[in-house]
Amino acid sequence: MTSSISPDALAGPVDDTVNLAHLRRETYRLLAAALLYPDESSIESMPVVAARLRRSSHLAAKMAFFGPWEQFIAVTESLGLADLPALEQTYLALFVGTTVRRPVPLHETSYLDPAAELSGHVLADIEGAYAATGIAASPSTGEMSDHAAVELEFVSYLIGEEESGWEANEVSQVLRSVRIQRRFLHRHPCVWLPALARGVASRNPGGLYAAATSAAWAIAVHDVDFLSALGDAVRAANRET
Amino acid sequence: MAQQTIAKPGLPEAKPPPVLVVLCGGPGQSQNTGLPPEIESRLFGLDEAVELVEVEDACHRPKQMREVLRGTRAERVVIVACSKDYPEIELHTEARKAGIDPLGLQVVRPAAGRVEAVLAGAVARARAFAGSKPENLKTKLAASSQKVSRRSFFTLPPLSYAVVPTFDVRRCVAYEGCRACVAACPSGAIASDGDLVTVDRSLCQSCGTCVAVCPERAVELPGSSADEIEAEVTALLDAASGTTPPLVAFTCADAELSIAADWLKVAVPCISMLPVAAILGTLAAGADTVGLAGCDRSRRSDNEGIHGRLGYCRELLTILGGPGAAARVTLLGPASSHEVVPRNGRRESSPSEAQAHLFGKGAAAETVTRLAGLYGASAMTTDHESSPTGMVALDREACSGCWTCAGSCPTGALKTEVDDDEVSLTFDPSLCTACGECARTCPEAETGAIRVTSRTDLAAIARGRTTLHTEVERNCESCGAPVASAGMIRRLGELLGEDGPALTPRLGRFCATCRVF
Repeated sequence: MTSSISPDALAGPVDDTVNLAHLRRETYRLLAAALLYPDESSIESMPVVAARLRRSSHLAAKMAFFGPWEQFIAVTESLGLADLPALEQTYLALFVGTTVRRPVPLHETSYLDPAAELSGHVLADIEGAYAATGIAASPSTGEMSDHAAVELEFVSYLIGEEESGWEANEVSQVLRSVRIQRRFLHRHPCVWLPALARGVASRNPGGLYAAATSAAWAIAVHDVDFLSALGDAVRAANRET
Repeated sequence: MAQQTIAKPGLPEAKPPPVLVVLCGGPGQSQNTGLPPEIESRLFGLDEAVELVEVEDACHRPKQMREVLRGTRAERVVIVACSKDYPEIELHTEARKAGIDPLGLQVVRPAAGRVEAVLAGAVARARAFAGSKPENLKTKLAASSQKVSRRSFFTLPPLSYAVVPTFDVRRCVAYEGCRACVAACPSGAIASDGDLVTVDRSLCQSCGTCVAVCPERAVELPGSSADEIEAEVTALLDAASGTTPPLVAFTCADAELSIAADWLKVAVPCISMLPVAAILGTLAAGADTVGLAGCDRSRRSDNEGIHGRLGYCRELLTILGGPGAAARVTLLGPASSHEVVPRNGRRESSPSEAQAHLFGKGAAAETVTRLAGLYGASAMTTDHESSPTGMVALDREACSGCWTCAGSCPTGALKTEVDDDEVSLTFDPSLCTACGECARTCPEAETGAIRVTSRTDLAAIARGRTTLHTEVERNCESCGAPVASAGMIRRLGELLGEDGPALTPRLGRFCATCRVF
């Protein structure tokens, strides 16, 4: 989560595709971190990453998701250890639930299969997507494969592949990653993140979790179309050469 | 940066001005806003505050705008550009950085003598902007005129966004069977799964047709919503009041037409979207003539939709005002772009008395009625395939009283009314759009129980809701719940053939829950 973005690399107009992939990858990772149960380590590192991401505001401002992204970065930058108890309390109340209020679940299955009628098919589809790229959700996170943080981290991993492709000028690797990213975002996060974001915004507006879920919604929806356009452009140029 | 802020006299400091008007002073121009005092006073006389700022050469140096946009507390912005080559993508980027939704940003280039009206219209439109959702934007990588090389991908082509509609599920009546947007979408981008409508974003051409046909105004197309277009037309006509009857031109957003300065322009996604109510409603709200300046697609003669609606408008105007009145609606093409349209000199109503109602359920009937009133006509009937209103005729003998038609009517033109043990099917022609859904779903369609005609009947509209058919409702002898109408039980008996006489009396006695054979 703390991998670096060179400020110099982000400053100029050259290699925008690489820098944009880098920005997107770090943003998804930060979003994933924000949606895990907070601890001292994450509260200390998230503002550092957010501050580093802010240096690429000029690039993010070209994107339609800039508003929610900027709001999320601002909220994350302002976090400190003193916020930890309140964040823990909010996380439990919002996502785990209390005896008097139902939670806003962070798991895709809760939205797509609330009555558990699909017998794990949603989860199987998600895990199949992970397995197709040769990875699996780590049991050490303690979260199911359909948790928002795990899905967002997976997208971040895929963008990392894209970024490596840009750096190595490997068009086929870029295209493969773009295709998998788009398919996964379209089939999973885009389907349920809007409902999650609306649920959190209605219960806890203005906090870290409202900012994170709103940003995740806006970025995921944006990226589905963006990746389509990017893939088309890369394919067209590849044909030219 | 040259910047001049004119504060509205008496505006409380704490109240943020909702609309910022940025005037591009042009390169090397005076720092004075150059607005005549009466225009300033009109703008400041609006019911809400307007902040006015002049920026030197904003059109060519968008970074000049940065501080202005960041410094304002307004969430809506109108930019008065001096050039048509303003850098839209950069402006949107600066707006985002300032926390302003780019879709709420209006850019206008008013012709001399039209500044006041155009500004008033743009401010009204900006105010009516209700915000956008992430789903409302579709990414496009701008096409480059240069040959794209593989290496060039390391620099991202300019990103731009197309607006894609979303649907307000609280208003959408797809669950009642409405398919108006699905049927009207020219690119087949809208589909229905029974209860909800969805948009295939890759197919959507952002033409706005769905906005125009939705009876419930449930389609959200930020920047070109029904509310925004109505607000602009109303404000334009209001501000253009005076001795000269105004000419209003609806223009396609992508049209590269140069139109004579006489026209007050209202941008719509594509003129093909415009319903009859929008064209005639603009006349009824005070316009002398309505012009449609379209893109190539909309002007094509095989575009039956807009040509059919134009034909209807002209036919109606001819009936109401004689052959000359048809010229009050005109299609503007490149050849006529610089012509000065002969004025009809009509200004029958003051827009302040007449708020434009251009879209949604009942708008067409309201518009036709108002227009007929302005011409002094009280009764008029015309059959035209593009008539925005329809008439339903029911054969009472053939109707079985199942009321499926009322359940499927998307606008509520057909509905049932219960009075003690009687149920009546009623019809309001002002709400009927002649969509034919009632005839399609009628189980007695083969016998011609219900017929729909694309007809404008002023007298029928004036009469309002009338009863087409009444049946006695049978209630369950056990629990009292409605079972079916007497006509429906009679019809079932006929369908049961020789068993009918024996079974029919039982069918009407109990509901499905209490019935035991």
